[in-house]
Amino acid sequence: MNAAEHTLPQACFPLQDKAPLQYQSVTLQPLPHCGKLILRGNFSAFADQPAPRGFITGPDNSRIYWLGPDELLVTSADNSLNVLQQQFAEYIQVDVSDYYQQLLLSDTSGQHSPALRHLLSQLFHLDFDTFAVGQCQQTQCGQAGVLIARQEDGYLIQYRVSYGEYLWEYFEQLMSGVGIKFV
Amino acid sequence: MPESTNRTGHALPPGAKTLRFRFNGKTYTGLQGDTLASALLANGIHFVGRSFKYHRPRGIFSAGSEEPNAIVETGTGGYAAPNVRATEVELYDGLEARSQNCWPSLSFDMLGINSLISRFIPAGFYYKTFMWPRSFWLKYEHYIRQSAGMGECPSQPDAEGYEKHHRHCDVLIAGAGPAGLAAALVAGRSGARVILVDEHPYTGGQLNDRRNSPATDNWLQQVTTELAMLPNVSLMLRTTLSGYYDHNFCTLLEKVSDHLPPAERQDCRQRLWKVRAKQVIIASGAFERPLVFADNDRPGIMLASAVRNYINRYGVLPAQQLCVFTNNDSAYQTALDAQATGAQVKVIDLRLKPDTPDANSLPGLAQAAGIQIHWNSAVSAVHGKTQVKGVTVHQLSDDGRNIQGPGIRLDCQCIAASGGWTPNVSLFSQARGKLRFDEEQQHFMPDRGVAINPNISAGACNGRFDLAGCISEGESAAFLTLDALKISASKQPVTQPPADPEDQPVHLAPRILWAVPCDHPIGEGPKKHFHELQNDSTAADIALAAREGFHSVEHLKRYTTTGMGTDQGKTSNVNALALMAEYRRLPIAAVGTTRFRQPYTPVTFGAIAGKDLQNLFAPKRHTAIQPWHDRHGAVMEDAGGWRRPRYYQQYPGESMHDAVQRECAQVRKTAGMVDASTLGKIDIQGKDAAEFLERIYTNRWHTLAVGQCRYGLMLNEQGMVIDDGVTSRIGEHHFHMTTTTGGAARVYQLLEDYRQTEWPELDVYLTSVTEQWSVISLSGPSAEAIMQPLTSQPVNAADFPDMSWQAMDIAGVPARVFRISFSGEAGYEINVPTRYGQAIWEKIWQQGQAFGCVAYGTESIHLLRAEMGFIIVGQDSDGTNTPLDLGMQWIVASDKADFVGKRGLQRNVFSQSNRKQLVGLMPEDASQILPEGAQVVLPGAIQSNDKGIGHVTSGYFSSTLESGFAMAMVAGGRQRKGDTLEVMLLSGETVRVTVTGTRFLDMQPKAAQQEAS
Repeated sequence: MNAAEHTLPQACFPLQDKAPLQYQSVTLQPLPHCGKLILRGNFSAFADQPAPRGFITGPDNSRIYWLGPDELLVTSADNSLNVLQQQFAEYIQVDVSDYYQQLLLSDTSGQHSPALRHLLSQLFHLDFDTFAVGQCQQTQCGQAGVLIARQEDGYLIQYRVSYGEYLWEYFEQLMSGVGIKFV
Repeated sequence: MPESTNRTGHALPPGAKTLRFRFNGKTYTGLQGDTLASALLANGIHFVGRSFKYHRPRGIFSAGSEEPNAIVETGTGGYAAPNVRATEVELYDGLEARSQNCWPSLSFDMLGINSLISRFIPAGFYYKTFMWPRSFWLKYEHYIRQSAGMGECPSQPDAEGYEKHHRHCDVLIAGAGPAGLAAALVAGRSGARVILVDEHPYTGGQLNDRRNSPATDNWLQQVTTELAMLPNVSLMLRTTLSGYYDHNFCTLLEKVSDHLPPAERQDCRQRLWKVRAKQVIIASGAFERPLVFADNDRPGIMLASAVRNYINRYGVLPAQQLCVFTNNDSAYQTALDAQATGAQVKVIDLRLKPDTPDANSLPGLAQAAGIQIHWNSAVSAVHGKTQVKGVTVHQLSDDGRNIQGPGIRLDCQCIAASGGWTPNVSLFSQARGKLRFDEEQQHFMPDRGVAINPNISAGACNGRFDLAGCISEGESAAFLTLDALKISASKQPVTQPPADPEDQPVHLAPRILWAVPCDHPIGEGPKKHFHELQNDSTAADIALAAREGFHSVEHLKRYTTTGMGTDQGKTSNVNALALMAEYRRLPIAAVGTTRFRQPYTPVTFGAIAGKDLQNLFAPKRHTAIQPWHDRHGAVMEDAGGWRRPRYYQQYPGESMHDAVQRECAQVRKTAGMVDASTLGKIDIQGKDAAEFLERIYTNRWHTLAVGQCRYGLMLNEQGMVIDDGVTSRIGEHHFHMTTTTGGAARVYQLLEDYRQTEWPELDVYLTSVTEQWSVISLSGPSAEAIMQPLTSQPVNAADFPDMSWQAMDIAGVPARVFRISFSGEAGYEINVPTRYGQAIWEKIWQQGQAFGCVAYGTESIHLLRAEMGFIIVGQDSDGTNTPLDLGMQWIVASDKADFVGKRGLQRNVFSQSNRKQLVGLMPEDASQILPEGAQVVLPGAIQSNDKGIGHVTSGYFSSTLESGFAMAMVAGGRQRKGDTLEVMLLSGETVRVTVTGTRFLDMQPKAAQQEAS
C-alpha cells in the first residue's frame, strides 16, 4: 500500500459504545468525544476566567475549567479545537483531547436525590452539600483521578482514559441495584 | 428447650415476639429486643466462654461494647463472624452462636490445664522459656498461638456486602445519651449539619437503665422525636465512632443488617462512613470500673451497672440471690432495682459505715428497704467455678490492706461489683488529647486545655455523672461549637426534665482499694486477682512487671498485655495503672497513660474493604490496544498499575519460556512490535524548559537540538538513580519526556514539587500526557521496511537518524515518531493520539506480516534490553545505586553548575571500589537461568559460611546467546571481570559463573551477529 492511499482511520474511544447505566432515576452515560486543551501561564490579564474551583462558558460554546492558578482546561466540540488554539495562542497549550473522556451522572429527581447521593458518597469524598452548580474539582473517584463539575443537568466526570473500564465497572456494581438501600 | 427462667416481665415491650436461637448446639428462646447476652442470662446461662490464656471459665461481665469475656462466634458458613461480643449481638430468630477458644467443648476444655499450671506461666513467661534451641521458636510460636487465641477465621467467603461512604458535617456527636442528645438538639436547632451516632439501636444511653423515671422517659422521647424531625440532623443508631483521626476525620461503623436473620438482609451488612467533621462533641459516657478481688473472673460476676441494665432494659434478673460488692454509692441503685424485682440482695461495701447515715442517700434507702449491708467488708473468696455459688465475706482492717476476723459465707449466684466509674476517654485520646487524673474522683479525664483536634467532651466522659449536669454540659458544648463554627442562629437552650424519684444524690467518690485483700498475699496463693479479664492479666503480673523493671506504662502494657485485647482495656486500664502506681509508690498521674488507638471497637475487614474487591481492589489501567491483545493470546500482567501483555501465546499451552524465545529471536531476525503506551509522558513547555531539564537530569540539555532525543538519568538528592527515560526536543521551548511505566506519577509529582517549591523562578510548565498518546514500538532489522509504506517521509537511517524524532503521518494519522530503541535493533516509537492507537497498531501489524513481525510482551522487552546491557530502574537498581555503581558515569556531566543529586554524588563513599557494581554473569553451564534475587558468593564461601557479595538483578536465557546470562550487583564487581564466582540457588545448589561486562550481545562472534540480523 502506498502511503498516499491511507485515510484517517475511525477514531476509537473507550466506553463510547456503552449503553447508559440506569438505576431508578439515576443515569450514567458516556458523552460524545470533545476537544480538550490545557492552557498554562499567567492568567492575570485574562478577562473572563473562571473563579477558583469553578467553570464558565467560553468562546464558541467552549467550557473553561479552573484547574489551578496557572492552569485552565478548555473543552469544546472536537472540530472547533483549532479555533480555540488560535484564540488562546498567547498561552502555553497542550492538546489533551485523547487524555480525558467524559461521563455524565444525572438524576431526573434532582441533584439532591438520595439515590444520586448514595452513589456520589461512595465514590467521592467531596462535600456535595456545598458543591454548587458551576463548581469543579480535581479529585479521586474511587481510586482514579478525575475532574468533576456540577452542571445544571448533573455531574460531569472527566476521567483519564486508562481508568475508563475501572470506573465503568465500579458504577455498574453500584448501580446494579443489588443491596442498595438509600440512606 | 428450657423456658426463660429469669424474666421479670418488666422492660421489653409487652408482647415482644419470642425468638428461637441456638447456643453451643442447644436451642433457647429469647425476646425481640434482647441481646444474645440478655437472652442467655434470661435462660440462666452465665458460663459462655473460656479465657484467653488460662482457659478459665468466663461469663457475661458487662452489658455493652466494653465486654471482655463473653466473646463468641455467630452465624455459619458465609455468615460466620468470630470474636463478637454477646452483649452487642442483637437477637434474631434463628441466630446461632458458639463459644470460642475451647476444645472439645466449653464445659470440658483440654487447655483448661493451663489454669492448673498457671503459676508457671505468668506474664512474659514465653519470653524467658522458649529460648532454646533457637531454631525451634517458630514451632513454639505455632503452638502458643494455637493455644492462646480468639475465634477462628471463617473458612467460607463472606456472603455479605459492605459499603464505604464519605460524608461531611458541621458537628459530629458521639453518643446519644443525655449529653449527646442535648448537644444535638442545640446544634440541630441552629441549622448546623449534625450527625449524632450511637452504638445502640436506641437513644438515651444509661437513661434506659432507670427503673422508675417517667419524667426522664418523657424527656428522652420528646428530644428524640424532635431530632428525628430536623432535616439537618442525621441520627445514626447502631453506629460507632470507631476511629478519630487528625483534622477531625472520623470513621463510623454502621451495623446495617447484623440484627436481621440472613434471609431478611436486603441491604449491605455494614457501612463504613468516612466523615470529615468541622467540630466533634464527644459524649461517649463512662464505664463502670471492676473491683480487683480474689477470683473475680468467675461466671456470675458482673458489673453492677450491667446487672441493672439487664434488669431494666431487658427485664432479666441475672440471679435470684445477688451480692452487690461496691466501694461507692452507684451500685446501690442496682441493689434497689434487683430487690424490687424480687431478688434477695445483700451489699458488701468496702467503705466504713457512716457515723450518721443519711436516710435519703442510696445506702439509706437500701437499708430502709431491708437490704443487709456489710460495711467495711470485702469479698475474700468466690465459691463455684463455672457459676458463682456464694462468697466469703470478711471484715477489713482499718487500713484496708488485710482482712480480719471470721469470714461469713453468703449464698448468691451473681456478684454485682462496682469499683467506681471511669470516663470513656478513648475518643478524646485518639484525637491526641491529653488526660489528667482527678484525685477526688480517682479517674482520668480530658485535659481540655490541650485538645489538638477541635472537639469538646461533655457529660460522663468528661467526669460529669449527674443527669442535669450531663444535659447542661451537652448544651454548653453545643454553644461553644456553634461559636467556633460562627453559626449565629439563636441558641435555644434545652429544657431539663423534672426530677424523678430515682434522682437521688449519688456519692461516687470511692474507697480506694486497688486490690482487695484475701486470705493470702496477692500472687502467693491459689486465688487470682484479675485486673484485665480479656487477656488474663492479674495484679500479680503487674507486681512482676514492677519487680522486673518494666515500669514504663508502655512496657507494662506489652509485658502484661493489659489493654491489648479487642476491648482495648476499657474496664481494666485504670486498675492496671493504679496497681503499678501502688507497687512503685507513686501517684497514679506519675505512672502515665498509654494512648487509645483506633478502632474503638473492632471493625470488620469487610467494612474496611467495602466494594474495593477483586477487579475493583485496584484500578487496572488498559491501553487503547487492549482489545487486540485480548484477541491475540496475550497473557497479561500488572505493571505499574497497568495491565500489559507479558507474552503472547501463539498456540494454547505455549510456555512463557518458549514464547519469549520465539518473540526475541524474531525481533533479532526481522521485527517485533510492542505496546509501549504505558510509558509515562510529560509535556514540558516554557522558556526555561531546557534549564529545568538541565537541573533535573545528570547530563546536558541546553545543547540538544530541536528534533533530537536524549537519554536521561534522574537522581534523588542523595545521588541515587530513581528514574530514566528519553526526552525529545519538540521545539525551542518544548520537550516531550518519557518515564518508566511505574514511575510516571511519582516522577511527575517530583518534577512539580521542584518546579513549584525549589525553582519557582523558572518559566516552565508540566502537563502529564501519558494517556494522550498511544505508543507502538517497532524494532528489528526489518522495521524500516515495515514503516516505509505507511508514510510518505523517508525513514531510513540517513534521513531519520537514531535519537531523533519527526512529525509525520503514519497510515493517515498525524504522529510523532521517535527513532529510538530499547532492544538494540533499529527501532521506531510511533506516538499517535490514543483514539487511533488500535487502528495504527493493526496497520503496522498487517504491514509486518510479510516479514514475520511478532508482537512481544514485557518479558521479551526485558530480555532484549538485557542482552544490550540496558538497565531497568527499579529492577537492576533499587534506590541505593549511583550512576557509577551502574557503570553509567558517562551520563553524568560533573562540570555542570548543578543538578539534583550532584552534591550527593560528591561523597567519598560513592567512589569506593568495594561498592556493589553492576556486572554481567555468564554461567559455566550455559543451560542455567540464574534467578533474580539469588545471592552471589565467592567460590567456597558457603562451606566457610562467608557472606554473599551481591545478588542477581536480572536473569534470562537467550536464544541469541545460546546461554543463560544475568546482570548482578556485585561488590567491587568491575574489578572482578573474568573471575569465577558462585550463585546460590534456593535448592542449595550453586552455579559457577564468570563475571563479564553488561553488554552481552557484543560478545557474540561477528558472524553470528550478522546471521542473526
